[in-house]
Amino acid sequence: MQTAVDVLSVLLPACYALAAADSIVAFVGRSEGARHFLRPLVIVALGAHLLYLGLWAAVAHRCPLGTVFEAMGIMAFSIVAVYLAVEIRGGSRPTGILILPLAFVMVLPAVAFRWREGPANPHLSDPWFSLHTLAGVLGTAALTVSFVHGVFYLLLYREIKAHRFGRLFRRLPPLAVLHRKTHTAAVVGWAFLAVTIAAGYVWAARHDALETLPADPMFLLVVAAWLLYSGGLGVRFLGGWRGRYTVFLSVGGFTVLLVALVIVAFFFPSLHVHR
Amino acid sequence: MPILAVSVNHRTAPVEVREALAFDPGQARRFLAEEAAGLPERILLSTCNRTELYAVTPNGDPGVLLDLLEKARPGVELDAPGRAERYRDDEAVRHLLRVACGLESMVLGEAQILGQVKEAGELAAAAGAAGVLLRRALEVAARTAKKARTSTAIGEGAVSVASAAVELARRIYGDLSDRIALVVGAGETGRLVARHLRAAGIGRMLLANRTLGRAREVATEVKAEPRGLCGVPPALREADIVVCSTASETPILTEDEVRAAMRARKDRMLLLLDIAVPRDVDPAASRIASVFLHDIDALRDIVDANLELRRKAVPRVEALVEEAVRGYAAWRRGLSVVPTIKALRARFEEIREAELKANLKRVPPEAREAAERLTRSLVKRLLHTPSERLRKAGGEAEGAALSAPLREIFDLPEEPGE
Repeated sequence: MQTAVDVLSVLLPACYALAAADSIVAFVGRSEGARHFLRPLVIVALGAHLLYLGLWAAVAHRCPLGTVFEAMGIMAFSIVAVYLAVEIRGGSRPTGILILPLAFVMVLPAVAFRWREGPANPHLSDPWFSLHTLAGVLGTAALTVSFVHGVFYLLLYREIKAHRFGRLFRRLPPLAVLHRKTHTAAVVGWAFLAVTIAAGYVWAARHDALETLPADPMFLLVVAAWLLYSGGLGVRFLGGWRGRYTVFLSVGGFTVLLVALVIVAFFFPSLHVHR
Repeated sequence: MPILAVSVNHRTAPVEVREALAFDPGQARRFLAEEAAGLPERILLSTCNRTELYAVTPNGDPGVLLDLLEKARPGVELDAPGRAERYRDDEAVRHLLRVACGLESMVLGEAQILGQVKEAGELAAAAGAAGVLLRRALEVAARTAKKARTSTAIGEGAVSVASAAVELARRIYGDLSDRIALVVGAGETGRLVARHLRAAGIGRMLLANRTLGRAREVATEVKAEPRGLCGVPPALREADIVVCSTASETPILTEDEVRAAMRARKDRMLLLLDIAVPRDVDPAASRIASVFLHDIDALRDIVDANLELRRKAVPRVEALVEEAVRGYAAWRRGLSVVPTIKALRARFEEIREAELKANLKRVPPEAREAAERLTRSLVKRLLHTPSERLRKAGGEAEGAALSAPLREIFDLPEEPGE
């Protein structure tokens, strides 16, 4: 089993590298073949990743979420899985040019540093903590996909508004499709983020850590991000608004989330310390 | 026998001459079956921009083809200097390929010509006029044109204002089947854009005009709902694409009207295409969020950008054409040795069958099939290298130099016609 993990730890980045390269060729060039093969390549990469995660969990005797690098691996898997789902649902031209290279960059350390970390987080044996972590990873993955499509939307919006008909105009999917993809992924991410916050709250209550939450910058920022997303989805669902403001809220929400995940978690004292 | 071609096209002849020379499918078929029947192989390509005759004939003068066209179209003078282009052999094939790829079209890279080239081939086949050489040339032309379209930008984007309007709408909304278009102005331009939108599968179309009668008339033609000009502001709230092309001297849509419509639309995207001169929409409306206002110049920018892309693709398409012409020439050279290869195979097959028959009694029944397979495979393998060498030697002189001793050594029958 260990040998299979070792083999997959080489094959997996190769699969993602191939899919990332193909996505770039499909976007920049005119190759129909590159477009045609992109989806099968992504499916193969996801299949290999799923196998790797299963084998790794069996070898390490734990859920592969116990270290920062393991979380990165799961995050890469989730991002690509959400991307694929959104792509299949939304149709049109592929937009993996940012997502697949990002997944490749995340997978590399995830497989390279799998032995270097210390023991897994002991809290992972608590189901609420596991749910909190898993929902957090899945939610962030979905919101990453939403963010990328939101950025594409804003770029194309600017291009068309300014009468610039260059490569972005020709290569990106239509604005309405980008809007739909941004929105679909945001709804999924928002739901998972809600589960993350609720499960984290229950976990904190069970460990007498509730009083620390109001002072926890990560908790506050994630709640702020969730509220921003709620605002964006609310104006769309309840107010019927459809324009770029909902995309702004989506992009803004992710920026706050990114600040929470990267800056606060690493540099500020918090319940959420990454090691 | 040489391949010849003559072309009377938009570069060489004015529209009156092209009109007089044009053939409809029935006339083309008759011409190929009767007037041009003396040519061993012939294809006639006739479109609004070109009439071209391709032929394989022992007479190497393309003037013969022009004479035939003149006879078929009395009164049309084709011997004036520069009136017709003349091609021979590789040049003729190259020209056909360039035409199929849209390199010779009035609008660079237009797609229609490939279908017309294919139709010309079908007509020739129906008239019994297409032989091995021209049929192969047509196949190569179709394959090359398809490759050019998929692997280069030669056919990319819209190249007319009306189609650029549709392209822009598609870049914003994608599928247009659930979208509503409002066309304001039932003049020629409005009608043209409406037709393009209808062809692009627009879900619903409203057509507004100053006079309702004219609106009704054009609306029937493009399957739209007619409206008077007073119906424009309310329609602005539901339409996704608005095309304005009236002859009004003052704007018919002000910034305030568009702003009010956008409030009612709750920021839903609105594409305003103002192709009127003077403009119909206040340019200040472009400042409003989620409003994409494009005037005639912007649409022309799209057309220019697409044409520039197509122009940049020309060297790559030309390289594809050259490669295909070389391939065709090699194939044609190989044809000269085909009778020798066929005769060689027939001789070996004859020997194989005779030997097998003579020794049949010595072979047990259960092994006969295996013996058949084995001898066939042996002959095939023995002949593979000589056949390939012959094909590669190709050309008339080299092929003949190799064919003659082979025929002598293996006592092959003389080639037909020798």
